[in-house]
Amino acid sequence: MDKKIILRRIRHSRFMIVGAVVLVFILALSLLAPVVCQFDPEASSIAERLLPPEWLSHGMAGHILGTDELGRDVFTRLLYGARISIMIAVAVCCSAAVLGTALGLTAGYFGKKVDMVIMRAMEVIQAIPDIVLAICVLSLLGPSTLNLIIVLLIGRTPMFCRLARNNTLVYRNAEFVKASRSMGAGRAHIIFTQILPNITTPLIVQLSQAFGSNIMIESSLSFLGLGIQQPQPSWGNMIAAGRKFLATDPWVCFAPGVALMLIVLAFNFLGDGLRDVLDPKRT
Amino acid sequence: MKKRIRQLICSVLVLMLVLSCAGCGGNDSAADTTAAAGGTQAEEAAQAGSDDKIINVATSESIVKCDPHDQQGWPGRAGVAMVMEPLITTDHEGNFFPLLAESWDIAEDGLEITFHLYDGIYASNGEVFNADDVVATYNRILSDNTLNTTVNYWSRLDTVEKVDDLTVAFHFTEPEACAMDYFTATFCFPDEAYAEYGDRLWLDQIMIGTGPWVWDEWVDGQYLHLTKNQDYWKKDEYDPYYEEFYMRFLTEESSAIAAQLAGDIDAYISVGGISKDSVGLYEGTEDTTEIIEMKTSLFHFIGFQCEEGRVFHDMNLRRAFSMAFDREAIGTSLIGDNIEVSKGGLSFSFTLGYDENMDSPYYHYNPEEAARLVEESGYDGSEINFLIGSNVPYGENIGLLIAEYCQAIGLNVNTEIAEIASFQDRRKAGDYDCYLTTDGVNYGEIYNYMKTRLVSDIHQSHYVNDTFTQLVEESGHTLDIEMRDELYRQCNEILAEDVPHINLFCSPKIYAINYGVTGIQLFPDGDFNFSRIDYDASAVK
Amino acid sequence: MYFLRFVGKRILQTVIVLFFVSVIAFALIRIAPGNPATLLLPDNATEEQIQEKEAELGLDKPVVIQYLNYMGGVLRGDLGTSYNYQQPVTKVFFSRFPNTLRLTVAMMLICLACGIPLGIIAGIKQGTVIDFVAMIFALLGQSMSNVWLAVLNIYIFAVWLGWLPSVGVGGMEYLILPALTLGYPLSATTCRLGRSGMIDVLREDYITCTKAKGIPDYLVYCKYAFKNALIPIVTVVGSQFGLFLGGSVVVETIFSWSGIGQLLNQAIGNRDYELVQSSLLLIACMCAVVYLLIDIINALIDPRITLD
Repeated sequence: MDKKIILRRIRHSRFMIVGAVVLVFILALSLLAPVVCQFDPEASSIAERLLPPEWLSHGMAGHILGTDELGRDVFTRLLYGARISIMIAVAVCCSAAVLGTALGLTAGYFGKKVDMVIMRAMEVIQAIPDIVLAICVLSLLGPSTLNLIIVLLIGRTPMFCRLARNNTLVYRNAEFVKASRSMGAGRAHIIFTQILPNITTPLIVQLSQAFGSNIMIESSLSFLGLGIQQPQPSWGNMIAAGRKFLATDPWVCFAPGVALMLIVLAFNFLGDGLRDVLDPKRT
Repeated sequence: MKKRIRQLICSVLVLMLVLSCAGCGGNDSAADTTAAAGGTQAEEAAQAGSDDKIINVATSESIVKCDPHDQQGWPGRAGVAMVMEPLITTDHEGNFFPLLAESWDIAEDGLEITFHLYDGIYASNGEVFNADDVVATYNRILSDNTLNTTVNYWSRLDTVEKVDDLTVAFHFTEPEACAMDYFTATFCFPDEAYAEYGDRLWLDQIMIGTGPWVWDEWVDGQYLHLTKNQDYWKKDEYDPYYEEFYMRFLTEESSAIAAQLAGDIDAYISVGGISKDSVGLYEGTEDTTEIIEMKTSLFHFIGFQCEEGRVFHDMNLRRAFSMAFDREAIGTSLIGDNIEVSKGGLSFSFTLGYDENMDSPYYHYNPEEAARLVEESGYDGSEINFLIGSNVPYGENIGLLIAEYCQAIGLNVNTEIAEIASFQDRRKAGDYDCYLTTDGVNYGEIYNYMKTRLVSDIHQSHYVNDTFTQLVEESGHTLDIEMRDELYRQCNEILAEDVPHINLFCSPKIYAINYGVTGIQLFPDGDFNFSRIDYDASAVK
Repeated sequence: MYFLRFVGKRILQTVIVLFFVSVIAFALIRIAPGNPATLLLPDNATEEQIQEKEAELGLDKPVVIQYLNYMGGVLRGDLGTSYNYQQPVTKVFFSRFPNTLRLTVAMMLICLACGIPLGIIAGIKQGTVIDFVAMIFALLGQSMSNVWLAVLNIYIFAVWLGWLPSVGVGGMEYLILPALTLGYPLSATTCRLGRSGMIDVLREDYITCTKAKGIPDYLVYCKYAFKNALIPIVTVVGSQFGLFLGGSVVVETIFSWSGIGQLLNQAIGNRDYELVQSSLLLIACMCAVVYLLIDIINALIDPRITLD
């Protein structure tokens, strides 16, 4: 599609702009964390446990969002935690999307035996609940970041695969594809230039929503003790650890919860905006 | 035509899907009734008698099976104890009281103990209970080597014999120092019932016993329901106000507290105690709920891997580790002010071998000295693996704080939280540099701890000290309490010097019981007993 | 004919899938470190006693023999005996399963009642206030961590407002909070899918054509558009249903809703091999059936998905 058209649509899409801005802001803040924050995210301080937020009364040197149960500054942990949470979500989603789409396209286009094998493999994976797979694999391999990504990747691929495959099936027998085939176009050409662009829209919506759910699944796994391990902060383990204090010291749990909401909203806005912008059928 | 057929099949399939859900919904409206029966039985009883004759107690762990001799957790034992009774009871401070047995004699050499039962005991089904039943119970225990009760308590029991209808004699292969304590934890069932049902007595939840409560129903993951034994043989001693008892399993602490605040629960007896930070949730309920803090014998300790070639083979590094962190500060801020810190070895005010003058220099917070020892030792900075069980109360936080202190003196300690199965596996294989866990001291007896964890070395720590081994072996055979006290004192001196283990502190437990509920026995070793639960209107504010 | 052959083939494939699941489940739980015999005995058990326990549980035989024994039992209808409960797995599993099923069905109902209609209407009335409200509803629902949502729900509705009981299994009032915690995010997802699906479909040429023919709007939406917007919804919702049949561990734990998610989690922690294997197999069975039904429904809705 014409670059100019895309750029024009981007400028007009409010959703996309808002999402992108918030995302960039959060990313920038998290990357600038060492400069912005005065505290060490992993250094505990028994004497300063569970201090309420000071907001900006002491500027950046105070505990803006208070401290957690080991006396660590919540705001600092929030920013450092953003890095790892976002990194994992992006890594998992992108690789799952690529892998899933590749498998789904293959299954949908070639059909018959290939389709059967791939889809049944996906079903085997889907038949074992995400959490159970995570628990077993992480108990076996140890709860490290890489293992976490691998397990989540395995769990996420089937959904992309299914979506890609079903949509490929829809387009496989479309008129224009048949026309290309009769003109002698190769399989790769058809797949990449004709089918793939048409199935991207639901994939992008799915992707943008998957980012969100991946960041959140880390919090479920942290609840079970399998997510990112302490003392390294991640939004998931901050929420899991802070939930006991919701009634007495709510900021410990609220801050990462709200932050999570914001970033998922941002991703979703971005996704919706992208969908509108890239839609080949829009005039 | 084809299209119509397709539409028809489509609608049939969707209908099937919906019906299967609704059908299961129909199924589980039956399950709904039984599951909701837990909730609505309360209402039914309210119509029948009065609502307040039902007592709801929440525990933090579930019951997994009903076998009276194979219980691993406290809630299970507490539940069984209400339905089946042991020969004697204890206040967990070394004093014993009659229950099924009226009196007892212990032979001089400690190899024979004889019990004289009360006359006129009968089970809830009317069956007479006498020496035959005791013999049947203990024979069952002796016949199965894999029951928890057998493994824990009765390795030295040889035979049980009936002397006459009301007298039973127990013969031991060696003197069992803790025998009396073990008798208080072994529950007896009626022999005719066992002969008739066998293991189905607990597999099918028939659970006939002599206790003041009758087992009604245990629903996995939800509750245990008992009803009052209207014809309890000791009725003149104990006749509770309550007609029904529910033990509800609520594993999430914040949810359990919410339930108590909402009035769904009358008492919350958490196995690990209510955490200090959550007590604040009870603010405002001072008139209805009593917060009880019990000193218990639950203590945290750290074990080292002392094998040659490993970091902590060097005794000075172990000492350095021990001096690196501030026990008092960690304990009081995380657990509470009423902890008791150990001054050296397994030495607390309630344990045998307690020496109030014990004051090991290695149990003080002395980071400068610790850093000096680390430097002198030639430690190369390699990563030290600090393994922590995920079920250890406050384990993660204690571990993180200690690791930080250690990092500050130059020891590169990294915490690793492992779930129970992995933790046990690794500890058993010796695959750790140090680990953090808890243990409890029942009845002040530290023999088991010393013997299994240090002498028999079940955790593969490769710590060997011949004097220590000798002392422990001797104490296992000695029946004289004062002698054992002296032996353990010497043991602790060695432990305080060599530091193969660091005993941290002993934590109190916090429970929340509504005013008016009486008879919940909370013992200093962390155990609890509900079998004498009752209601006292005058205690309600 | 074509169709029946399709169904037959899919059933055969389902059986193969289940076979592979059984192998994976069997292997996965045994690879994890930890010995169930050790966990069932106290800390100070001797080697001898541990070995006796292992023999009692059948763990002393070679792994392949164990698997064959297990599968032999499965084919005869015997799914094994739980190590911890000492009861048949089927008994333990199905005493808890109705709770999970109730929760899942309640969650689906919330989703069907709120999510889909809202999404469809928002798609039709794109750009209006309704669309905006629906989007906010959906975006909020998708962005809250379930741990957070669960704890928040308990705190707001049970403790602060006191409208509903906080924890436990029971009748309708106990079901609401956990179902809401699970149902809200799902309805948010379906709302967005329905909306985007509807928007896509409404732009298609054949819709413009039908409108041009003068067919009334509502007929256009119901008869032509709705069906096609439904495909992605059916796929996602159906797969979620299958997923949740495995129970939501987090929600069940926080609400003390004793279902199979919690059961499975505890069983894995206890290394209760037989319970884990058979539970996974049962869950996989149910999921497979659900997916089969979804595929058939999808194929019937949209004949473009050719059935070969």
